[in-house]
Amino acid sequence: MIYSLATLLCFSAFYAFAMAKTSHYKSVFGSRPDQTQTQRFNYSAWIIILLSLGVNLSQAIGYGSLMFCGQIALSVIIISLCMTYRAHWLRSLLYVLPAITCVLIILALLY
Amino acid sequence: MKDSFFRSMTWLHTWVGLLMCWLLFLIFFAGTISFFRHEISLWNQPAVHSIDNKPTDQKALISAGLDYLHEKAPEANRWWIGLPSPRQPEVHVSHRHSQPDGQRDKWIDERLDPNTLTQVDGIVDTRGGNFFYRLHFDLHYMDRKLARWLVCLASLFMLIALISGIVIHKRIFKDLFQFRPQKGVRAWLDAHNLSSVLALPFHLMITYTGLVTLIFMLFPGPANTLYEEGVKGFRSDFYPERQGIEKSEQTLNSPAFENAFAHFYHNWPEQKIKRVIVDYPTDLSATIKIYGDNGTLIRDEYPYWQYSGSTGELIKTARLDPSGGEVLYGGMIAVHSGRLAHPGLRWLYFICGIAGCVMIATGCIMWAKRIRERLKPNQSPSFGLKLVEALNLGTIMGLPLATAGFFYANRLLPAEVTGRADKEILAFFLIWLAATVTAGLWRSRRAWQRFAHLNAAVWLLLPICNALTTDGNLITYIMDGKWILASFDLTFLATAAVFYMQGNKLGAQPNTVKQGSVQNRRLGREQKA
Amino acid sequence: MSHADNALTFQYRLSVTSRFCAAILGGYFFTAYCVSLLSLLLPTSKVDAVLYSVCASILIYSCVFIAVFAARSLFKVWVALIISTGVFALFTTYIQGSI
Repeated sequence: MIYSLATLLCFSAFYAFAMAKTSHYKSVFGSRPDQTQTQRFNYSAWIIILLSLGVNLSQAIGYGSLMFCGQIALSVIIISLCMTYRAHWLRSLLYVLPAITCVLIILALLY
Repeated sequence: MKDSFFRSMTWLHTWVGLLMCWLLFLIFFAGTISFFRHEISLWNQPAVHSIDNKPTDQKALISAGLDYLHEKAPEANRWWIGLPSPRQPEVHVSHRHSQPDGQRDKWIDERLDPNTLTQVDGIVDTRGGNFFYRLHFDLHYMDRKLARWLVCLASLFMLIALISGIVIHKRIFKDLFQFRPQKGVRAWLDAHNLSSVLALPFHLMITYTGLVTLIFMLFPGPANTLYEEGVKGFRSDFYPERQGIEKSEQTLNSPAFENAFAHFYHNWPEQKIKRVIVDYPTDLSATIKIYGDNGTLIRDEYPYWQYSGSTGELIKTARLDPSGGEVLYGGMIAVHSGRLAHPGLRWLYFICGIAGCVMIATGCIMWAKRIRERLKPNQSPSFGLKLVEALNLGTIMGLPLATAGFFYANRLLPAEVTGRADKEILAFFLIWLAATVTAGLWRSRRAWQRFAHLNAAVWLLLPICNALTTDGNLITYIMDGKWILASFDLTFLATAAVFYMQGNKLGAQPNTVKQGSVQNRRLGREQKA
Repeated sequence: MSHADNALTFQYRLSVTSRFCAAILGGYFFTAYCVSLLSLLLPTSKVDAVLYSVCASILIYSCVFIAVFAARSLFKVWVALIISTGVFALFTTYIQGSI
């Protein structure tokens, strides 16, 4: 449960990293991002990835860091494949990802 | 060696990568599969599929196992009880017997159903996942020592290729998500970069720790300097639990196994047990060794307790509180073998391993493509290029095909055949050989496409073959919640889908790639140097 | 022209082979003696000293390997490798003898 939250955070972070790149942003949203948007994506990406690392390590130092490395690989694969073949799928994720994360956090707190 | 550090590293990356790449691909491929070693052993043994895998009372299982062995093999020199885990439903009760005149001791493996405590019927002779596990460092059909040295050299080359790869790939994070499948050789380069960068920590870790697993063969120096008896002396210091026990030749009339376990359960009530080994069970020198389970701790060796079989006293314990060096060394081996991983992490390991295979495969393919592009129209390809192309096709497409063949052989060979386990392995190697020979004669893009489609067909039919030859199929697995077996079928189908798409891609691309484009020249830079 | 080319490639091949030998064999012996010495110098228990030094060995080996290929002069590489390996070996025997 906690690890799936961490995976989701890691995925969101790499989503934000990808969106901070002009060419990728353009292929997903169709328009050029402005400077502030890019910067915001970049900052949030770093914050979220540190959060993800924190969540992983909070479970177990060794096991958590192994999970973190694996999650990075998984996120990058998914993002790159989507970006290549189904770029428009990523558009809705901007809203879907925070929503799922919130739901997962609530579920994790409840159980 | 070249005029700049960057160019030396580019040159080094190409040649170190190429020299051993097929062996590396084999090691990575077999190693990746052996993350699912126990699962494959389970799949290969349909008789244990029906066992209900639920948490069982370890105390009852151990005493049942001891009773069974006492009745079945009192004269054995060792009993071995392996307790069920989520990855392995049955209880292993094995016993080892001394052989006359210096022959190797003989193991007899038996399995019990933990729910009924009776012997499992219909066990077939198969190596299961252990075949891939041994293959990735012992290379089958080969002298073990030579094979391991070769594997070490290949791993060293891999490590060097990784380090030099990091050095030359300056824009390592800049174009992380970039994959442009339409652009000829560029697509292979993108796939190569992507698969190496995304799992870079894994690649470095698995290569380094892989070398560490064979380190005492590679560098016995420190042990030889500090210990009179060299590595042997070091081992007796480091592995007190593996030291042989002297047999007393006096019969043990009243074994004190119960006292020993009572003491253990009283003092370490929370400790999960991995396995129990009894040496000389009916001799006065009988010894009970209890190995604890490490769970998800990053440790390789299990904590252990040794009890006397005649008095039931605790003789010694080890690894309850490991030292710094032990944590470092054991941790490296533990993260390599991934024994600690739960299904989630195990799949991440698997994905990273596949990324490694893709990295090696795309590297090999790119090399051959570049050389071929630089051929003048009237120039015929050299022997070296032909060899590289044939080995590329034979290894990259042949190994998955051979693996499928191994699974088919497991299901289709009759149970009575003598040397059945060896025949399964023979099937693996024959198919690989056939693929390589075919690749030697026929290496065009069409051949790649045909091989990809053949792979797709073979992997697609595997779940059907499984459904026809065993009692279960994908639907019943999902209904009964047998997720390990269900994920086998789903993985086979996914593999088939990937090969099918790859085959279609190979068919769709034009046969010739534009020569002399800026990108290709950039890629070919290291060759010119 | 072709004659000169052949001569060049032969010399080139020889230097490449020599460099690979320096990296693989030279690097191996350098590392082997280096970690032996390291295990003697580490102020920990015997088991730990062995374990720490073998775990470091791969790191040392790969650094030497890269350095051999990065260096300009092959001659200097060989000289440096042989001298340092000799020094390590001497120190190891000296410390072993004095214990």
